[in-house]
Amino acid sequence: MIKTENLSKIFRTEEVETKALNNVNLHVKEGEFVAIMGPSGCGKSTLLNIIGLLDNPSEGAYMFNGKEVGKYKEGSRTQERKGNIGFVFQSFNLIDELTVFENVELPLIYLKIKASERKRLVNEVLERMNIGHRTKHFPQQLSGGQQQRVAIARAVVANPKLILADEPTGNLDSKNGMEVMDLLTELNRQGTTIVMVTHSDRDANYAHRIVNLFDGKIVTESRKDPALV
Amino acid sequence: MLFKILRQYLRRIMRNYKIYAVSILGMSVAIIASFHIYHFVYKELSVDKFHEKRKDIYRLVNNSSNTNTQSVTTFLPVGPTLKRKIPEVKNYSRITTYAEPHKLKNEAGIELKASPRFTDPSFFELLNFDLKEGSLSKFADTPNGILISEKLTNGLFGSQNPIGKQLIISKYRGESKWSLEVVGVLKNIPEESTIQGDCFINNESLEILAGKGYEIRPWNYGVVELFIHAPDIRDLKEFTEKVKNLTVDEANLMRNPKYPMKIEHFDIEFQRLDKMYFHSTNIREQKNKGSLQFVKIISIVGLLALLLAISNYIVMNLGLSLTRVKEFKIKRYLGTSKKQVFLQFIIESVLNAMVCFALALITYPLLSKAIAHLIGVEYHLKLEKDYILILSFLLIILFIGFTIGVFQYFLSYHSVFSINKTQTSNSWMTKRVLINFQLFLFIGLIISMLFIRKQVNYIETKDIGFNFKNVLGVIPDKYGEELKNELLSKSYVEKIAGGQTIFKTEYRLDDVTIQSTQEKVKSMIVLGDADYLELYDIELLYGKTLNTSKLQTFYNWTGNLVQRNGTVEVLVNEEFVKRANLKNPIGTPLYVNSNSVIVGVFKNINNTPLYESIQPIVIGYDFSFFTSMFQVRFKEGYKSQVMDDIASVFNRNNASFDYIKDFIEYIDYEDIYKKELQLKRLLEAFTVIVLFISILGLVAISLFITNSKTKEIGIRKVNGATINEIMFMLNKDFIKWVVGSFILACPITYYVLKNWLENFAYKTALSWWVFALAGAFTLIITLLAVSWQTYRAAKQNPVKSLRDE
Ligand SMILES: Nc1ncnc2c1ncn2[C@@H]1O[C@H](COP(=O)(O)OP(=O)(O)OP(=O)(O)O)[C@@H](O)[C@H]1O
Ligand SMILES: [Mg+2]
Repeated sequence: MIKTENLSKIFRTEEVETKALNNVNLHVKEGEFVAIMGPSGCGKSTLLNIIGLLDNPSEGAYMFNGKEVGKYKEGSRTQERKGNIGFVFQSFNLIDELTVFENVELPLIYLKIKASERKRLVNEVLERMNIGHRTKHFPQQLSGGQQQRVAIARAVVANPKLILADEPTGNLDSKNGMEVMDLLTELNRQGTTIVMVTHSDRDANYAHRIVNLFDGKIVTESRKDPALV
Repeated sequence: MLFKILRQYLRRIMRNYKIYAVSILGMSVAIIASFHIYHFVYKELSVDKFHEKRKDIYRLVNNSSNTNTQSVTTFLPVGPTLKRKIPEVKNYSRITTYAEPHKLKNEAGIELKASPRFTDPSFFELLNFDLKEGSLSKFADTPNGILISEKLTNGLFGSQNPIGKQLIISKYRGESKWSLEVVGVLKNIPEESTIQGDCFINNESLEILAGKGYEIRPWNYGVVELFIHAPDIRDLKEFTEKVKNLTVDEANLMRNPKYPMKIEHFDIEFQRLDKMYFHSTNIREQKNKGSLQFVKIISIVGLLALLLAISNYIVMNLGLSLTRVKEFKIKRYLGTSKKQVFLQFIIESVLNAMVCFALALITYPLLSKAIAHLIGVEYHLKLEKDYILILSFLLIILFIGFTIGVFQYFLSYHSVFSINKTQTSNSWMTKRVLINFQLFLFIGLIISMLFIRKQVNYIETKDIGFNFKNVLGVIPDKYGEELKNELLSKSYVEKIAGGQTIFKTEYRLDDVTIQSTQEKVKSMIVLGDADYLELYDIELLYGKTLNTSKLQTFYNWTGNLVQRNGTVEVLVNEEFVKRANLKNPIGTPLYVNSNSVIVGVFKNINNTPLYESIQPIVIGYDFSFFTSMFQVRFKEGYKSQVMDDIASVFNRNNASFDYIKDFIEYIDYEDIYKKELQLKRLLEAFTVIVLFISILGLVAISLFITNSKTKEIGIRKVNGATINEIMFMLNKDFIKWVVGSFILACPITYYVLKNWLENFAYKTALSWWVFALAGAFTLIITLLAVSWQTYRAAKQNPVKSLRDE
């Protein structure tokens, strides 16, 4: 599903040039659960953004679902991303002015799905995430764990094949963190591919495979014994 | 404390210089504009206010039932009679209204042009025209005494003492001359005076000069304007009635009993001195008039521009307060009192206002020409003279600055002093109201401007039924034949016809009697000969044109004696036929000053400004009154050539032709519709200013909106929103506001314009498409202004927007 070849990303600011990614070759198959780890500033988020078609690589190739998308313009990237990729962020990234329902509804709106259908899908996914009773609340009125569940609901509502999570438990206590991880594991079990950035070994243990990044390079890759899964 | 605030103020300006520049620029433009308007209005309203007794002095005005104008000339003995007979009248003063240009020559032979007016010495007691040198009692005692202005004094005598010097005065036309003695120097009459003049001659000379006729029949000629000093009038109406009765009785003692004065022919009213400038629209003799309507419109427009800028300014500052709230909150934690926060708001706001005021003053010399042109009056601001005006405007500006400060303080009060963090809806609401207000104004102005243009265009292009372009009216004096031959020899002169100028801004209606029914039709009587219709391209509907061979005995314009052998032939217009209810107009006997008969009917023409509807017209050449005037039609572009030709004939006869305008009548549309053109220009300029300020405001608002929505935009994009969808989301609100303001603006402007159009007998249609056009234009402008920012925000990489949070 995801295949990068010598992927590099260089950020140029006025004086400094940062090589955030340096010849990254990563391969993720459909249905996999991959965790990306590494010290702060090593390029994890950058990699995730490129995988998620939010950004273009500076060099190298990126095959997504068999298509070379590395040089896609913004419009095509959006088109490709829509309905295929869901995002979960450390800071939840919910829109404060919208209710839980409206937040979760967003991807469906941009997929031009009819209102009645949207209502059904949103309510279903909110039930699944165990926050069906909070649909009319605003994000500010929810706890961190609840907010992250809303964010996950939004990520999965359009039933994407790939979910990208950037430190999804970073702002949560361990109990809420574990709940989020359980949700992701459950989604993975139902067939969703998941790529997750994390600092936590415990979270990484939910994944099939751990990719270690250092200074923009993949240094080690460890695969969990399938028997343990 | 003050110093600290100043320093912080400067620092903040440096940091947010773009927004400050925009907000101060918008404010400055409005202040500059409003300053000029304030200046204009101030000057207009101060006209004649320097007369101390202005509330106790009245001018006599004659209403005339058969003209569309009023007159201020009255009989010489009215003043003395009133003073003698009516106790309320403490004093009176008379002055001749018409000041024909004269030559004023001193003993050294220096000659200057001057317009002398004869007046009673009391004129300078009642009104505040002060003497610089000489004495009033000397003026009163010297029948041939003259008071001259400083300007004339300088020109004629330089630094010499003019008192006691002799001056010879003579007309440009004619040979009469007489000698005058300078008895005083008058301070130059200020611009803010309705009454103007450069020299004044004792009224006793008038009585002498006017000759025998006057002495015998003073009650037959109205020659002077009369002012009375009557501080104790309780009921002006009652007083006026008393004056009427008394004057008529007195006049009839003196007049030929065969022709007594009738009270209905002495229809007068009294106008207070301080109303003279603005309330004399119809007074024929008064040149210097103000338009209260224009002053009102311009004040409203100026006020609106200022309000707009203020609202803009507040919007921008509220936008800034997103960052300010944090600053003030931190200050609060550090122990700043509410009072200090308040002070900071006030001082900053007042400082901003001062900056704008300074800008207005600095740009004045650059802009004053353009603005003067715009308003149509040339005024020059002089610091030493106009300091009161400048100071009062400064006070207004300071007050505005203060008010804005207070306003801002209260708007951000909640955000700063309450703990709840999502308290921005208050300022958001205010912003919305202000934006709506701006858009409303903008749309209203555009609609008004478009309609005024439409009306002016309509007036300019309306088929008025005749063609007066490239026609000059000439008063030939005694050179009629020579002028005619001279002009006819020129290839560019197409036609000449005897008669008066057909276009009339002021007219009178006289009774024309249908002989068979004795019915009277009030009509305009116009003198014109056989070629008259053709010269003006007036269409003869049926009948025939006049036959000049059937004329009464009189001297025609060429000075030849012409014989008359029948009734006067006249042409009438359709309106006459309609009002007289004539089935077969041709051959209908009329009585127009003499026995007449209709020989032709011509199509209706609009020979008056289009404020007025069509009147019945009777054209003839042969009444007991006649004119030596003739009309010349020439080829396009030869006007000055024709005028030169006329001048050359006058010069050849050694008749001075310094005042060509006195002998030539030329109708200029621009002059007739000066008010409308002025209004059109003014509104255009203000639309540009309002457009400019509004765009600044819109840009600023969109800046704040996109800034405050950066995160939301990022999130939406991550969730699949395209650039277009984001743009639509951001622009949607603006579209809503434009639509809302449009809905509000339409009925209000419709109402205002409908009222304005009531001025005209001929109105352009208030077509819906003009409204639609204005709405569409506003929408496009708004979207362009807003999209500049929203496109930038929508294009932003979501990764970046989410990182920035
Ligand atoms: N838009 C940008 N402009 C310039 N430099 C950037 C940009 N985005 C990331 N970088 C740089 O690229 C490097 C990698 O950043 P990235 O956000 O991928 O790190 P990370 O591994 O996610 O770190 P963390 O664990 O702290 O989130 C950093 O040195 C960062 O400063
Ligand atoms: Mg990161």
